[in-house]
Amino acid sequence: MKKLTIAAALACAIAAAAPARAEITVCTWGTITGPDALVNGMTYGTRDYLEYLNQTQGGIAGNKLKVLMLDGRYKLDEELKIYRRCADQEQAVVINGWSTGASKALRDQIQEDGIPFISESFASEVLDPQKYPYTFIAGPTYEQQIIIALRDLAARGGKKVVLMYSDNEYGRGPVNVVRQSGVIEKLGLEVADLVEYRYDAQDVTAQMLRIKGKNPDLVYVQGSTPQLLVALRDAAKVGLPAKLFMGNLYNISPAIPEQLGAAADGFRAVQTYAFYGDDIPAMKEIEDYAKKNEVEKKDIYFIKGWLKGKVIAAAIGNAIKKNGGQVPADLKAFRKSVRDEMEALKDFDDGGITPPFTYADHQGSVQARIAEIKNGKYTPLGAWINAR
Amino acid sequence: MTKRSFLVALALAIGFAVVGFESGRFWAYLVYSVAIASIGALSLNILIGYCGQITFAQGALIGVGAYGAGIAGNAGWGAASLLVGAVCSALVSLLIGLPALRLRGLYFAISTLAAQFILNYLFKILQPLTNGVSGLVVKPLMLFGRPANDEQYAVICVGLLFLSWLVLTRIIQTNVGRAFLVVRESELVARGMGVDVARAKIQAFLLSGFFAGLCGGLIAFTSRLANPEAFEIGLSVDQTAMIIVGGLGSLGGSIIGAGFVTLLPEAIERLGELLPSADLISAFREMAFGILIILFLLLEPRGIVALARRIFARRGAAARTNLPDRASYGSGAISAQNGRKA
Amino acid sequence: MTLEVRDLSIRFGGVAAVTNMSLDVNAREIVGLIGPNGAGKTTFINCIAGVAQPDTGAASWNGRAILGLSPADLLRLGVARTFQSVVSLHDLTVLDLVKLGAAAHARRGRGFLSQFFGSDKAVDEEICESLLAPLNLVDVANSPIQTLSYGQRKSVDLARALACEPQLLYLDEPVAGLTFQEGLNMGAVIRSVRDRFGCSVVMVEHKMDVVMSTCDRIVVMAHGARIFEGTPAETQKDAEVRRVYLGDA
Repeated sequence: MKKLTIAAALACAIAAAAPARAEITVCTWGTITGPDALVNGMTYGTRDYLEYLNQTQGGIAGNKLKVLMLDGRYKLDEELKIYRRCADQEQAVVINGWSTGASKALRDQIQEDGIPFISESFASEVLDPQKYPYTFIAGPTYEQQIIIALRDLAARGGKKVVLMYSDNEYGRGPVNVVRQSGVIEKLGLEVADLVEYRYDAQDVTAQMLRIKGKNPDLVYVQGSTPQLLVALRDAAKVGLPAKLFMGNLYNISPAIPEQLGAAADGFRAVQTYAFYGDDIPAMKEIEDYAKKNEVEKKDIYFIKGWLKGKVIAAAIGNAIKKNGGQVPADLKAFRKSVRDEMEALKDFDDGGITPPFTYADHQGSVQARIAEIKNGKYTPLGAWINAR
Repeated sequence: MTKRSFLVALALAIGFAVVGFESGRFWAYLVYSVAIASIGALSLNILIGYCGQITFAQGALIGVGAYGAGIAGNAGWGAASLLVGAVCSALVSLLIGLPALRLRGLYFAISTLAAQFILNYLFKILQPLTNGVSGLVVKPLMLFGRPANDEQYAVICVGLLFLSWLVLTRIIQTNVGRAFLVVRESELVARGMGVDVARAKIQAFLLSGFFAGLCGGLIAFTSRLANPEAFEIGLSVDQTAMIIVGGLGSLGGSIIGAGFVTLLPEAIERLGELLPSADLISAFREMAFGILIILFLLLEPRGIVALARRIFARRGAAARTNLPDRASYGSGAISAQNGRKA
Repeated sequence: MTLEVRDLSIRFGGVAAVTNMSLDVNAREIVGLIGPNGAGKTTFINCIAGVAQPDTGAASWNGRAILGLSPADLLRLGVARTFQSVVSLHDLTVLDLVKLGAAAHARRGRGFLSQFFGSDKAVDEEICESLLAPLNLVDVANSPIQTLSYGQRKSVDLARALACEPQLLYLDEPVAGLTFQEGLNMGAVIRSVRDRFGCSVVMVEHKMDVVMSTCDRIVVMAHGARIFEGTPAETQKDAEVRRVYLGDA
């Protein structure tokens, strides 16, 4: 009896909380609270762009958007639960998910449900337009970010590169893929050394001494920001300049110049989207949105979120246009049509966040610039480099 | 177990299975999440609540079951993989439990903490078996020639929970289970009564490990991914919270606690969506468990079940001799003549 | 059917707890072991109950050496004991505990599968009739032990020890903590247990009135050694006993 009462009480609480169905529902979940919340601007940006459409254009083709932003807390079970809520209860047309793990766990389910799904992951294993036609990502994979860095080195006339990476999947996986692809040799570069270190290492001085002996032109670090902080600190100790080091998109963090001060000057990272505050059309929209709303995350990750919002809106808009200006009555058909339109986006102009791209490959732009820390601020250098 | 409690449990199981099958995938997910967590909580309660062996390795042990079942499932063992996972966990649980034959209380608990971290590390480095940090993608369980869906999982998990509860309830009512309780209270007295303390502990670890493994296997198949991050110490903490909130040494309480701990974040989340101060609510959600556990430990260490019993007893249920209220018993005629001498 | 203990000694660190203690118990005899606090009575019982290992000495039950055997081994030989302090055993009911006690006995102990699948009804009834009724515990047979009074818990412990049908029973302060009337009742119960089950009893006890009315023979210990042995009447008369124990200086 007690069990029943509690279940009934919870059922009432949840049922009462279930909202009425809106016209077009888009779900986006991320780590609102949790270990990788530092980069959750990616989730806020998407929500804010779609809200911006609601406020300025009354949604898409006159249909209001209902945007749900949910907290997956970087927990697999939580993300799996949210997916079911979005797909089933909320009847979302498009879902924007978060982790690599959840994207992998859900990949068969997503195909079966036929829901266009944009993953926040940059891992190549969730990307396969043939096998997983409903799954998209938004930007260059980790491997491609490494290749962009190598191209930049080759263009500047460098030769010797050290690849440094943590001893987990995030570290090892992409480095192995790049090495086996033969791209390094094709660019006329040479791997001076491979340095693996523990993902939670607190001191890498020994590794830095080893790297110093190799006298490389570039040290590419495939690691998270805390790992970069340790690496750059110990590099300075043995007299290796930050200028020698390069990281990926996730190493564009104010923590690096803040904590290391002048020692971080010259550190470079692969910048796959425009910075918040850059002089681009998309930024004008954000400033417009910010007049009436508070923008909570003012960083490059928010810009990525804004980009995904634009992609989702364009695909939904085209699907409605194809259906004679009406929202398709059948949700399944609507989802399929949105997927098709997403894949069909050609020379898509995202307002300067990236160069125009085609989404047939399910990842969009695979270009990036190199950003360098100058006087404590990340500053883009030169033009966009294509990973392909 | 009385006939009445059996029938009530059966009715509840059928009820929840129907809810899980008929109310869409989200509800199906909630139903089987609670059922799976409950099997884990039952397993942990056998060890901590009944046998008194405090362990922090439950999360990793569930992980062993998940990997065991996942690997067997990918090799084509089908539903039998659940059994493989359960047996793997039982054996690992036995290994974790061996120090308990020498160490007691906190010292043993610390050795289980070490086991938790070692196992989690093994999940990450045994690349060929576990696929390392990127996690093992598990093939779906086939049912009637198709991959099982959420609704079918809800029925399967509730069914297995019912069976687990039934088996454990029976075992608790044999001398094997009685010995657990005596060992929990005093190993010295247990020995004096002729109870083989070492054997009782080994049995408790095997039994608990088996059901932890079943829980893990179900996690692997329903989530389709066995991932080291899912079996960290946080899972041990969640499971412990379930049995503290539900009631240490109560099988029914384990299930109530599992439901409570699994559904509370969702309930708070939905509540937060209704109210304007969503941020505040979501911050509260993070604290809710901590506050809840402290409250229960301070006010009702034996959980919701004891709370309910107290309320029940106060409502004029004094006639129920099998659940007497301590206070009312003390004022009865017996204590007048049996008053304890100082 | 006799217990023979010869020259048993045990030291804890530098303290001699029991020194050259000897004791004989005949079939169906109730022997009281008395003495002031710290006389070594409980330590002595622990030595012959498989809990403590004496340094020197010998003990045999029916001609079989028993020193070094575990409590479980002793139970199989028909030697059972009760405990001085009764712990609260969580949710175990009176019947649960008695059944656990019975498990040590070959006839009453049942296989796991028969317990798992079978009904306990017949066993419960048998226990109620043969063990709980004589100890006035039938009414509380299904109550958790923690809800019982102290005196009842002592009776439950006795029932638990009797469940394996012992031929030798050690009772460690069966009356301590009970009221005067309860104590006298317990004494009567012990005698009736002896008559009913035909076992020998060694009881350690402080309460002289109960000891005098219950025991056939009394052994007095002081400072870890035996100082007197005799019938209750002789014991009361003995000057040395009165000096060290009864406080007649």
